[in-house]
Amino acid sequence: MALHRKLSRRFLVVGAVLVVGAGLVAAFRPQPVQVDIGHATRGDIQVMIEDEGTTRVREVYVVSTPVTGQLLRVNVHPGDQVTGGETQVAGMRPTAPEALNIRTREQALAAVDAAKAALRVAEANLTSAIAAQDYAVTELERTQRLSEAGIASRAALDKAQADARSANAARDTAEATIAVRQADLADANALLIGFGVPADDSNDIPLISPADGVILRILQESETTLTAGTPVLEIGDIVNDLEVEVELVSSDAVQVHVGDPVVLSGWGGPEALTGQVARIDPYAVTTYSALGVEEQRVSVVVDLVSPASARTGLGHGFRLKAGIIIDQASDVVRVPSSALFLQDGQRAVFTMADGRAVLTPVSIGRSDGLLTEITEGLAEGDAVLLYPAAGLTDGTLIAARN
Amino acid sequence: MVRALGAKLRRDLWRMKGQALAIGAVIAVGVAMQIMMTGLHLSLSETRDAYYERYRLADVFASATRVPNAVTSDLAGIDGVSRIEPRITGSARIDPADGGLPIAAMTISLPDGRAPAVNDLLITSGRKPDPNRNTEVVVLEAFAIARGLTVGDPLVATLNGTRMTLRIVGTATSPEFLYVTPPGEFVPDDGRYAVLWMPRAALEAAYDLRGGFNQALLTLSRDAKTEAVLDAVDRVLDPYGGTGAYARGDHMSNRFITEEINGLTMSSAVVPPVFLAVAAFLLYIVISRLVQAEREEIGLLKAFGYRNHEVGLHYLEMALAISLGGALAGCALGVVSGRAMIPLYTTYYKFPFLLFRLDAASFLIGLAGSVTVSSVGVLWVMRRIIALTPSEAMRPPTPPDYSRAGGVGRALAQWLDQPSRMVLRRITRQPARMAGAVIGIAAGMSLSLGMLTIFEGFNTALDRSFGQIDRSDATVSLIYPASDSILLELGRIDGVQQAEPVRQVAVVFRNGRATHRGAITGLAAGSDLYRALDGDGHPLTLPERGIVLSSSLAQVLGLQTGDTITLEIREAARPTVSAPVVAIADSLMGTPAYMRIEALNQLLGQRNRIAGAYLQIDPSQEAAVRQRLSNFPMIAGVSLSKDAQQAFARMMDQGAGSVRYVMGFMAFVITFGIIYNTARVAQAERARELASLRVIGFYRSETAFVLLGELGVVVLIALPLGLALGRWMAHGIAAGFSTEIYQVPVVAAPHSMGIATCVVLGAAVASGWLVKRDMDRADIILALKTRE
Repeated sequence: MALHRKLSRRFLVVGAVLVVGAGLVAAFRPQPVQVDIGHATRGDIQVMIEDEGTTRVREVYVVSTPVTGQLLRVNVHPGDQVTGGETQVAGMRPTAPEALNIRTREQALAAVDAAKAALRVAEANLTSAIAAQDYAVTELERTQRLSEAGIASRAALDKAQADARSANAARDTAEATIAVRQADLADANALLIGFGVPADDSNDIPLISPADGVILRILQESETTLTAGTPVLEIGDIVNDLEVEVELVSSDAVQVHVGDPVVLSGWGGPEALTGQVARIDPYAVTTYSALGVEEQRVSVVVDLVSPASARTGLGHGFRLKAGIIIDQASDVVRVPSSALFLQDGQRAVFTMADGRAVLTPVSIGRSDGLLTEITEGLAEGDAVLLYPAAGLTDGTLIAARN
Repeated sequence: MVRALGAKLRRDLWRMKGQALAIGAVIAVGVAMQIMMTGLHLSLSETRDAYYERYRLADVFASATRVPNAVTSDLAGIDGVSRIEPRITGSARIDPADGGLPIAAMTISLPDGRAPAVNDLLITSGRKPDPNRNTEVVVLEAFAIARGLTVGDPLVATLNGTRMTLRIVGTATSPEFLYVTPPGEFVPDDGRYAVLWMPRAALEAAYDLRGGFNQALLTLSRDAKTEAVLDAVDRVLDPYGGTGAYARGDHMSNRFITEEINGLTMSSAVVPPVFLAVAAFLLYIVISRLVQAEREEIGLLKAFGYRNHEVGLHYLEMALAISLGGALAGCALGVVSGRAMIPLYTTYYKFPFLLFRLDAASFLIGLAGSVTVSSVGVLWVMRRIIALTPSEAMRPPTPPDYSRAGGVGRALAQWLDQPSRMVLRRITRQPARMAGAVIGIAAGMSLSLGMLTIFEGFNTALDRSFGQIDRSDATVSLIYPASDSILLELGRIDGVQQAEPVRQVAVVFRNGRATHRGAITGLAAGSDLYRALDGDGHPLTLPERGIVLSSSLAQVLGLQTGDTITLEIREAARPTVSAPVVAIADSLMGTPAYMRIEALNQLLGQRNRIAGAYLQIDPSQEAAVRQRLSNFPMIAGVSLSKDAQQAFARMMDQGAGSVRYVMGFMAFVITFGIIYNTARVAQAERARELASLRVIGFYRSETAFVLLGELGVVVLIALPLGLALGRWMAHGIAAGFSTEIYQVPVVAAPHSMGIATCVVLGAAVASGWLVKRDMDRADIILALKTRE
């Protein structure tokens, strides 16, 4: 009994020490650092050059006035379907004559009077020419009778014949002069035709659409008088003839080749479209960037590969984001770029093993910004730490943030 | 007769010098805390008030886009306005000479030929700029010191797209810039934000504001109604693009200093009373033990003719001696520590001068407090003294009745050996005293554990802010919101791995009568570098429509998920819209609100606009990226996350770090005081019994166990209670110190619990060792002699 009781004091002391000691150990046990975990996956990587692009119709037809004239009001609207060679898109009429002011009116009236007077003169001349002709014919007859009788000389007969002929000619002349003066009178009357006289539509000129497509823009809608060659409207085929123009910085354009696939997004539709680089301009122009510095831009043309049904509603001049794929690899090990960092000049990641961080040097390949290809150092499915904090070292206790 | 009592007093004090010192230390710390805190409070608030008054800090700040000068008279005519100063403010970008990152700066105009009527500045070196010279500038003193700039140095700055080379002609400070942080951050970092004062003509030309101004400062008369004046100012400035006037209370710099001062008020009201209460308790048990032990002497004194009050006075003098001694030491300690804290404040609050000032009131309060404390304890005991009749007193006291052993005791007693049973019996016999000791130890422990938990919380806040919410390497801000093709351009820079857009728009949040001036942060859907997190730390998906509020903002406005909030947007077209609150995000700093950037742009009637970007930079190309970023005219400023993190960590280490050790010391003082006194009192009470045990044949260890076991049980019971109280205290401190500007999180802090436990155990072991040493050296024979 004494032995039993003697132990209890020691037992109590030891027990208290153990309990407190365990508590302290638990308190000072190193806490695992909370980290975000990602995984190395196997898949494709595409390195893209991204920039803004605008759509445009490849062949735009501008319908313009063939002659100077009055353009009738254009009744077609942008978006209307047109067929090449058939659809009339606009019509023209000859210009109305100039308006007469007081002076020109008086001048025209005076010209009419003058023409009338000249006609009367010509008529009078005709009368006199008729009279002269009659006389000449009569003289000729008389001279012929006399010549046959042997009384008039041969010379007199010739003279009478000549006189008769010239009198006929004078009468023709006078008649022709009347016609001339009548025409002059008509001409002077025509000068009196002023503005406001309704014209008939027998002289309308139709403007026919040159190609299939839709009306893109109406440049002149209202009725007006235009000189020859003024653009009236634009026609283009946005369904079949659309392409994308992307202006790339020259250093990016060097990396792009004809035939590179292009991903077109941000155009407003549900799915991204695909395209292909068709042409890269060989010259660059100077522009100002959004951040205010000068840069050289090269125009790159991208053909649309997606069928028209996938891009309904996409028109001319629409803005979109073009991502030109300049490099891709499939079936490679990839890891989020946020896991990579530099350690002593070598790329490395932290992997998680047995609840501790392991510093793993890796070699990297392509990167598309979010994912980076790992050529050696990691296998598919390895857990890596995302955004590793500066204080982490090899062997630190870590736990995944839930 | 008095001399005899005086001699007894001196002898008694010498005999219990250890205890007296311990209690005195507790009082000293309490009084020192009180003196230091009230002194700092006084110094800060008086200096602040004097500074504001002497340099005429504005009562109302009102900004607009462009206001013609003639409107000044309209504003001056508002009821309640006593002084008005129109001025031009804008932002600029400084390109440092050493080629570092561009620094955001604020430019302020100075009126020609006179001091500003409102918001004057104090020139600390050099002179004011000459109104006729458009390239002279006065810079903020803190910035000049941090960057090593002096009068005469050139400064390259870009104002509104025009790069100018300016010349520094002076440095200055102003009450408007008492606490200055880089934009968007909460900790001052002097080298990363500047203020430039320039002649009015120069800024008129730079910002195209000839004949106008864009900020009005008002001083109000004493009886002015601030709300009415603010409304009137808003009405006047509305057609000119007014962004909303606000009073001094909403001015950021003023808010920080005011909240700091309020924090001091609160601490000085909470902390010293705890110490003084503990001291009162200790004095009570010491004096009552003494009275108990000396009841025969008291009876003798009374028999000899000493009056009640003379005897009582003797014990009062004993208590007073201890407490006044402690208080005087505390006064000295308080003054010294107060002076030592001043440099800490001047590092962050740019007062032109700060002296540690005390008024007599704080000394008097400290002394009065300690006197009250000691008197209360003694007065309680006095009843007993008065009640003793001499004859009763000279009789030996009735022995305590141990016949009725407690039920608990009987069951356990079978298993325990004799010393343990003694310990158990004593505990169950005097539960009140044991409880008092336990509570006292727990209180001391909880103070230190509370503060330590808060500091661990700060570390968590740092990790949360820079490791989870903002994971970017750099933040770029533009001089004005521009097209999002900038993101593509930033992404093209060699070394920039990712660029995500951000746009912040100033708004006034309104829910019924509750309003709050703040900003909405527009983020891209699926943003990875900067995320809004919920209370569990999971990223929130931003809804297509609707707004996500931070918990602090939701609390201020009294909103929950599903409510509707009114937003008065203060930029661009300034529409007023309603939006549903879709989620509540966790936030530790500031009061952010989040929306999708597309939705935010739509509210403003714009499309595809960003005002900045978060970048992730490849560390091997960081220097090259920084170089490139400095060369874009559209970029107003670049801030690196690690700079902000370092500034925060520096502030934590400097300010909070040293306070940590002070807290530990304070906890040690309290716990040591309580434990040592409890042990000593117990030992003194039972010196005879313990000596008897030795004589009977108990070993020294067994005898020691009787006393120390009781001590150990008290400490062991106090430990979990102290941990629980400490957690509760941490919540209380967090609630008390959390402001709109930053919230203090309370985290499970096992490390801090371990430290607090170790402090208590250390104090227990130390006092236990001292008591045991004394016990071993006690003369057994002497103790057994009966006193006659």
